[in-house]
Parts: sequence; structure tokens; C-alpha cells
Amino acid sequence: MKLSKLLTLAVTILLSYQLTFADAAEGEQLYKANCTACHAINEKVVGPALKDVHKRRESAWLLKWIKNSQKLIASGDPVAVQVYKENNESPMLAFENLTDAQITSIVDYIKKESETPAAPVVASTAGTTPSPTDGNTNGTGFYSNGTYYALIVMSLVLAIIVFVLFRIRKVVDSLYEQKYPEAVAAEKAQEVSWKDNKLSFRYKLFKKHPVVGTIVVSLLFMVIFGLLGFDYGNKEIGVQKGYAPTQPINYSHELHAGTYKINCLYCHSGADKSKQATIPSASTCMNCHMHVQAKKEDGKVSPEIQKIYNAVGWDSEKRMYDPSKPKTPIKWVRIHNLPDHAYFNHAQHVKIGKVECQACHGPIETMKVVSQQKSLQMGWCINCHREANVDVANNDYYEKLHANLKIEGQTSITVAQNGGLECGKCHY
Amino acid sequence: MRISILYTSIIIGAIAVISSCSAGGENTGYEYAPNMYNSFAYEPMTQLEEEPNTINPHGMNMREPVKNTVARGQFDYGKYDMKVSNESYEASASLKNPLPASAKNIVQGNRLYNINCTPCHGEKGAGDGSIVAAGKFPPPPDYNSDRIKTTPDGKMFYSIKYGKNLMGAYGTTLTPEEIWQVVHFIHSVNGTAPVALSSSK
Repeated sequence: MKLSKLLTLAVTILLSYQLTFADAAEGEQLYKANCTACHAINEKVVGPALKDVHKRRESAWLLKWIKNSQKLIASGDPVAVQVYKENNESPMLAFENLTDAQITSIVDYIKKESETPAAPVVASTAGTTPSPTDGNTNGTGFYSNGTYYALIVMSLVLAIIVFVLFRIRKVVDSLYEQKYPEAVAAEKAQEVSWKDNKLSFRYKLFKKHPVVGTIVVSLLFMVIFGLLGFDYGNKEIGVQKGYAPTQPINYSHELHAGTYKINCLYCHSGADKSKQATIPSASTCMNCHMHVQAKKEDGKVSPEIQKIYNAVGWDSEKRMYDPSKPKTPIKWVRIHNLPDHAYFNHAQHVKIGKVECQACHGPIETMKVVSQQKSLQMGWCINCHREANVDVANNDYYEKLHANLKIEGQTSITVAQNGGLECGKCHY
Repeated sequence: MRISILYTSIIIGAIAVISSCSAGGENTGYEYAPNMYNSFAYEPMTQLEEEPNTINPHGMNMREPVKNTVARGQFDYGKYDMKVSNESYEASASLKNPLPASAKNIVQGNRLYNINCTPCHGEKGAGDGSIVAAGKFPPPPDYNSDRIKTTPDGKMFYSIKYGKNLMGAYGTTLTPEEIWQVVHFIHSVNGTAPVALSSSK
């Protein structure tokens, strides 16, 4: 009898201990493991904001709701039905595996978080999402505006110095002539024009044989300008290296691919499957930006992200696609463009060739505004085909080729040796 | 002096004219024969301002394939088309992974997982991906939690294809075959065998 009494006492003490001291730290862990996929403290995510939920609802109701909300709704509980309707009728998962103590600890954690003032959203987002005006005032090019002005001022100062030096030289010359007029006159008398000097090369070429002189000079000009022009045409005409257009949305590859390390293929999902790397559809943006809104001080969605919402007809207040809103595709500006007569296939290079995106597109993960880094000329293609070795050993695609190479006793093979220089591979 | 000024202005002028031909900023540069650059046939991912496509909506060259089009080698096409609803999610529990849990499928699943899932779920599925670590996105559930361990394959498939809670739909970027490979990989991460229907509710 005594033993059983002691036991019950111990159990009740233990239980109450667990109930009262189920601390917020455990709650935090549970909260992050189970709730954050749909809830946040201060804002509505999929489910409602949880701030002060302990004040709004009784703890018994909360226990029932968290364990199985569908059951509570089915039982006709008016509060439950109302909550369900307010949140687009998306049901909350049943958490029947959580004990009462665990749920209480989660509520304790929410209580604690509700009392701490909301962290300013601005600080974390303002710096990372440049608005279009930021881009303009800071100068989009290589120089910031400060250096640019400094350069202008410096060149102005240099121009003034040159001007002053010329003036000084003129003054000195005239002073010299005033002081030693005879010396100057003698100097001038000694000078013989090339037109009178019959032994000079210039006289022979232009005075004696004017036709030869003209031909020689024009030939020289033709060769020099021809070479320059050819080089220029080769490098610049029809070559769009350096092209960096403004895109309809101020999307930064530096932020997404650099800072957040999102794989290139997450958005350009066609790069390993098809000829095109594909521009992602706006629904790919919405995978994250349904939630990530980079709100400014005024609590409005960042104007750049709002452009995605406008494109897909998403209502960020109601958190649903509004069928009454028009859908307009985003008109991204194409940067890399091969001539129609050259064939290029992304899948061949990315999946089979295992070429890094950066090999052709440059350090994309550092670019705020994407610019074309390579010329995309044939010489550039061919050069890589000549130099690059095909990794035949670790590639299922080249199994047969690898076996044949082994028989021949070869260890490596370049793309060119594998037929990468044949005209018909790219031009047909 | 006068002649040299003339020459300099000619050279500067020539440089100005020539440099306007090369690309940079908004300028694509001069094209000698644009006809060779711009495809006569409609090319996807291309839209010419001068000659917009008059047939398709929004002047786009791309078009959605005709309904019920089956791509070459497409795996079980149409079998997994469901209406996005709570009922479909529950019904999806009966779907079975048709692929064997072979090393090849798991490796492929791993590759696709690293591309599409790691930003949030993290490399080992602990919900600690790069975006979550940066505090930009709330952490998704840990794959080692009991809830995920007991989720039937079909529900995982549905969640990946049509999205669940804050997670977006990946049905547009991943084919059904690829999604099943990812499901295999998730099992290899949290050390579970595919959950049979009987053990789920």
C-alpha cells in the first residue's frame, strides 16, 4: 500500500515537473521541427501568425486542434470551422505523435516569442535586395560614381596644365626673338625646305615621281587600315561580347547563385535535358517567392518580387492565385544568341561533357547584371574542342569508346579527336 | 597646328563611330547580316521585337504542347495526373514506387536532390539548406523525424509533384521517373525502407 502511494506520488511529481518545466528550449526545437513549414510567429504563412495564440485560444482547444484538426472540424466546433475557412481550407497536419507536454512546451515557446518584440524585418532584407533606383544612383558599370567624377576633374586639371604650358612656351619664344632677333633670323635662314633639297628622299618620292609616291602612300594606308578594320570586324561586328541588357526584373545572379548557392539547374532545368538551358517559368520563382517577399519599411512586397506576382496573378494578401487577374509572361531579354547556322546543344555539354556553366558563361555567380563574357565565335568553340579532354573513364555514355581506346592503348582523347572539328557536327 | 587638330578630330570621330558598333550595355552591337543570326523558323526562347509571332499568344514562339501529348520515352505519362486537393493527397498514399531501389536510381536521385532540394532541405535532409541557414526561409521538417519516416511513398511523390505547405510544385521541372528516384534517395538518407501502405493510416 505504502509502496504504491509512494509510486503514484513520484509519478505525479515527475509529471508535474515535466509539465511545468517543459521549457521553451525544448519547445523551440519541436516548433522548428514541426511547425515552421507552415507557420511563423509574426506573419501569416500557409497557416495564421501564431503571435499571442495562447491568449486567443484555450489550451485545451489548442491541444485538440494540434493533435487532429480535421477531427475537430468534423465535430463541428465553430472556432475550428472558422479557422479552417479563414485559411483557404488547407488542412493542418495531424500531430498525434506529440504528447500533451510537448505541445505545451511549443505553446510556451510561442508565448515567449510573442513577448519579445518583432525583429525589424528591414535590417535583414533591405541590404540584399537592390531596388532599381539603387542600381542607377550607384553607377552600374565598372566605376562607381565617385571615381567617375574624380576622373573627370583630373582630366580637366590636366587639360588646363597643358594649355598653360603651351602659352608659356609661346611667351618664351617671343621673348627670345625680341632679345636675339639676329640669331633667330639666322636660324630661319639656315632652314632649307625639303622642296628645295634635291637629295632628300621626300623630294625624290613626291616631287620627282608623284605617281609612285601617291601609290606607295595609299598602299600603306590601305594595308594599315585594312588590317585594323579586319581585326575590328573580326572582333566586334556581329559579336555581342559585353552585351548586358537591363532585364524586366532586377534579378541578381550574385544573390541567388552566389550568396544563396542555389544550383544553376534549379532554375535552368533544361540545361541537362535539352538543347535549350531554358529560362525558368515564373512558377519556379514562386517556389520560394511565395514566401520570400523582401518587405521594405512600409510593409509592402518588394517591387521586383511584385512583378512576379503580377505575372502569375498571385494575391499576396490572400495567399492564393487570383483567377480574375490577367497573366502576362515576363519578357526576359535574351543575351547569348548563336547564329542560326550554328547548332549548339546544352544537354550534350552539360550532361555528357560535364562542362561547368561558368566555362562559357563566365563567373555568373558574381554578376548583379548578366553580361555576355565570351565571344561565342567559332574560333572560341574550336579552341576548346582542341584542348579539352573527354573524360571517357568515368562516363557511362563513352563506355564503348573507352573499351576501344583501351584496345588501342590510348589513355586520353580530345573532343577534336572524337570528331569535334567536323563541319557537320555544328553546321547542317 | 591647324592640320593636327583636323587629324585628331577625324580620329576621334572615327573611334566614336566604330565604338558604337561594338556591343556593351543595352547595345547588341552592329550585325553585318542579321538574317544569318535570326532564325527564319520559329525558335524557342527567342522573340524578335521587329517580327513578333502573330500566331501564338503574347507573341511567343513557344507553345504548350497539345493536350495528351506524350513525350518520347516519357514514363507512365498521365498516370500521375491528379487534381490538387486534400483528397488527392490522401489518395496518393496508394501509389507505389515503380522503380527498384538500385544504386543507379539512388545516385540519380541524389544528383536531382542536390539540384532541386538542397537549398532548403540541406544535403542530408536535416532542413538546414543554404537559404534556411541565411534566415530567408523557414526550415522544412527533418527527414529523420518520425513524421517523414512514416510518410508513405505516394504522399512523398504527391508533395514533390504538386507541392505541400510552403514547398512549391516540382512537377514542371521533374518527370515522374525523376521524382521516384528522389524518393528512393530520401529513403537512403533517413535509413528507411519504402513505407508500405499497411503501416500508414
